[in-house]
Amino acid sequence: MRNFVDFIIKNINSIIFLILISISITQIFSRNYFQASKFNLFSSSIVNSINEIQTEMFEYFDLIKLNQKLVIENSFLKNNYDYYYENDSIIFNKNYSYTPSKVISNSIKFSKNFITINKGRYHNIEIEDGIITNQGVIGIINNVSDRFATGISILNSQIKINVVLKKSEHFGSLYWNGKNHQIMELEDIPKSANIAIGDTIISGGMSSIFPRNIPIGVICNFKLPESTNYYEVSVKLFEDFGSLRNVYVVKNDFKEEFNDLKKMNE
Amino acid sequence: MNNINQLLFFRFIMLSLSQVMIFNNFLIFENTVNIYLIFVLVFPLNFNKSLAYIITFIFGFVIDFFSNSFGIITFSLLISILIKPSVIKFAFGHFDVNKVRKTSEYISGTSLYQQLSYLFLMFFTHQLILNTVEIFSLQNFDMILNKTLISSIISIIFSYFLLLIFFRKNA
Repeated sequence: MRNFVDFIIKNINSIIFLILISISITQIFSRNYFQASKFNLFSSSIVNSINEIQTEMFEYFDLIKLNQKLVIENSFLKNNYDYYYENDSIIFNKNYSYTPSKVISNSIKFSKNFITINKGRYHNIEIEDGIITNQGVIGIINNVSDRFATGISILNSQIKINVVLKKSEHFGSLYWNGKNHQIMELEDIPKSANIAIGDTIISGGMSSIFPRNIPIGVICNFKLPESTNYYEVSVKLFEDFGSLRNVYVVKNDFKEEFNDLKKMNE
Repeated sequence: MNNINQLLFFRFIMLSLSQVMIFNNFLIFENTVNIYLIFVLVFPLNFNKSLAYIITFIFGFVIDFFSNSFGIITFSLLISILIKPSVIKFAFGHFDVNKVRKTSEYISGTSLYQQLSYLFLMFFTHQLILNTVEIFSLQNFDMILNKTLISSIISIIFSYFLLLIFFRKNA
């Protein structure tokens, strides 16, 4: 306390000066309208920018939660609004249901690549369900445990996928030659299909696994070998398999009916 | 008037009255003449600092009150009296505050050049602070400088003659 008094006595001039100058400053800002509004503008802009940084920071930390929410919402939307109009009659195309899930492990460096996701039998996932994202077809489930499932990635030289040229509706099969994880090969496109570089490839929906109209990639190169009637086409995929994170497992609810019908013909 | 307190009181009244009644009422090149700074210019140097600040504050407050510029003149006057010793040191060379009582004792026997540099520095800084706070936007900095230069030159001319006439002996 004594030190405090000493300090005040020692610096009495500066203290009085500071008090007086602060009184005059408060007068300036409280009684001059223009200066007050300017000062308010300035201070509020500083406060706002600080608040903005703060919210940005908290938003960044909330991104994980936000992402999960969006994924759930997305699957809800996909489940509820997946129908289209055709030939003046509404065909309710809700025979696919979607389950959001996360990729646990994924490889692109082998010629037979597999993918593991964090949903399994408990989440009603079965063998031969499809794995997709909104940017492409990812693979097909081949093994299911209680909580996990593995799938054959389409970057696997063993599977072929039915696809369609969006422009001309010609269908073909997509397979991987094991070289570049962003390029796949498309075969069975007939000579009559008038294709060009940049044409979009979508899923065909002819199997019971994947719904139609999932974008897959664009044609980046093609040639017509002599003495054949089919193009050899290279397709650049939209989805980057190197950074796969959120996927949907798509299940055909009428798969058994479909397969039974198929068997009757065989 | 040898009593310093009476002298200060008299100056207080006279300077504030002349500023408010006369000089606030006419503009030269759209600028007012601010002769009230004479109060600070000739303020006794070895006066109690705290009292000096308080008296200056009241003086500024009175002029502010009649000029409808609440706080602005007080603020710049306080800054002026704060920097006054440094400016005197700069303009007139080294001096000892405790030895001499009157500002006039420095000023007598100094050259016109030194006196004018003292006046110019004081007025320029005072007007600069005054105009900066009054206009309060750095986008108009050219306007601030323009106003500062013109009004300080006008004020210097008036103040110099007032100082010569009234404050020669008792400054």
